[in-house]
Amino acid sequence: MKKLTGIFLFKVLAIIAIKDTIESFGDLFLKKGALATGISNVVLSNMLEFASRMIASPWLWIGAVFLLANFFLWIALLSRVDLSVAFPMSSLTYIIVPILAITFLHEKVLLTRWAGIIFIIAGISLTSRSAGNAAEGKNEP
Amino acid sequence: MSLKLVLLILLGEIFICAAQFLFKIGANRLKTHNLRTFREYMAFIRSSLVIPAIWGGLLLNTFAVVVWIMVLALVDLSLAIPLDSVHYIAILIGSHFFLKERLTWGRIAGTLCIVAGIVLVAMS
Repeated sequence: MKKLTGIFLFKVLAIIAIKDTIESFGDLFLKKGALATGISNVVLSNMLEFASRMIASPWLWIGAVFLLANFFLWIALLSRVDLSVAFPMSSLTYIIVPILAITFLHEKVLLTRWAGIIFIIAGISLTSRSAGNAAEGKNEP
Repeated sequence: MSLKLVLLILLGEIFICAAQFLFKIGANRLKTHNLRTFREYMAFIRSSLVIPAIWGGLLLNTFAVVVWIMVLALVDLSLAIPLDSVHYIAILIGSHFFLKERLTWGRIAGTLCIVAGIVLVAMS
């Protein structure tokens, strides 16, 4: 396992940013699809109706393709860095999703949410910083 | 909080963590690869699909989604998300013991910060 510095760190961050953007768009498309069904409260009685409307919606399929692409990027990432680094860093979705929600769904973001986003950014930078020395001498066979 | 809810959350956490450990074990078996072109990305997908650990992880992940939906049926999303973020801590501890990854102060502090952030996001 390579040390997480310089160009390698940049590559890892780039994969995470691309992966999380794809994942966030995937979530956004699923949300669009769910909104397009016109059913806001899914219960046992209308679950089949909801599922059939979702399957008929192009949003679901676009979202599914995005989430599949996201999954394989995740595996690619895991083949390069420790799980205990990659997993916290992938919480970037919590930042990208609100930004997409503000832009495309016109949702309002409250002060507590901004505070949370700042905490998450701090956490990601702390984790990526520690990755530099922790990834060397990994348990590679 | 009912006993059923606690058990479901615990079960969900176990599925999520086990799935991630299997993904990591599978990913460690992959040869080094570039992802510069679409063709290289496709070749990478093909090579990852022949690894049993990755399929095992996918299966466990499916179980985790089912359990998660059952949790959501019991509680509000604003409570479920903070409860769910516990798996960040479980992954950190588990990857130290099961995957022999190093537990550093940076990783511990970073993970705790992220959990706090997720709780704040869910509260708003």
